[in-house]
Amino acid sequence: MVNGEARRVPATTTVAQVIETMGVNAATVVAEVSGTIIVPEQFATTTLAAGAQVELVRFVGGG
Amino acid sequence: MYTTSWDQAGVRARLRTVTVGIAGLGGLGSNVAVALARSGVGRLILVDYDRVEASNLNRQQYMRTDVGRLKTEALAEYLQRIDPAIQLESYALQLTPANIPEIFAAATIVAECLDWAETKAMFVRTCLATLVPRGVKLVAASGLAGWGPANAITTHAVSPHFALVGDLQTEVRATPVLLASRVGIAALHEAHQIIRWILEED
Repeated sequence: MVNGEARRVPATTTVAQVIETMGVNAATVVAEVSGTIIVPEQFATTTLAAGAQVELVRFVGGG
Repeated sequence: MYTTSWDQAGVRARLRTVTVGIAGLGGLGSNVAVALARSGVGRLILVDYDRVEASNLNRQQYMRTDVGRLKTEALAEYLQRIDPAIQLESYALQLTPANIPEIFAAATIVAECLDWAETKAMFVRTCLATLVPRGVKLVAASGLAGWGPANAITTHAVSPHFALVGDLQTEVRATPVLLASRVGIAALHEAHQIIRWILEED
């Protein structure tokens, strides 16, 4: 799920690669993989297992 | 589900028992705080390291005479004028992954009202990893700049414990335009989600 939309990605894709396809700054993304929050330092090393539930929420500025 | 046997006084009495944390006291946070104080929420934890600037007055709940004051102090004074019985805990400091869990330890609901996208993401990440597993509910905001349609700003239930308010898209660019109307709409979406969570718990 990316901002609420379901997406299909190839096996062994990393969180960083998924975020790259969104074309956004990784530091503005909150990533949860199968219930665990992943910090940006781990985006490149976190590989998605088959059936992984990925929730990405990208933040834009303003307050 | 949307009706209750409570009257206005009963709702106030229920809101009285709750502690809400507000991270950031700008256009979002100052408006969330005022709405919650007027509604009768008993205790607020207010966090912002910043001081009031003249450029804040177009959308934030400060007065011209507040320019230069800490936002925590100026807002606390305003909230106490609304409700002298409100309990306030203020922190004029920068939030970090290390201090967020302890600062908001007493809160059952936390509102992300920060400014920069990176800081918002850091705050939400930290809350989802530390506070939400303890049962805390989190509302955050993303996409409220500009003068796009009011109705593009909605409340998205990401999970039963995490709500996201905004159009999710409109970014603050090099020349940010933040308007009292649209920022206020997002702020009141956040405040309303908080009130609904409190009243629907029973």
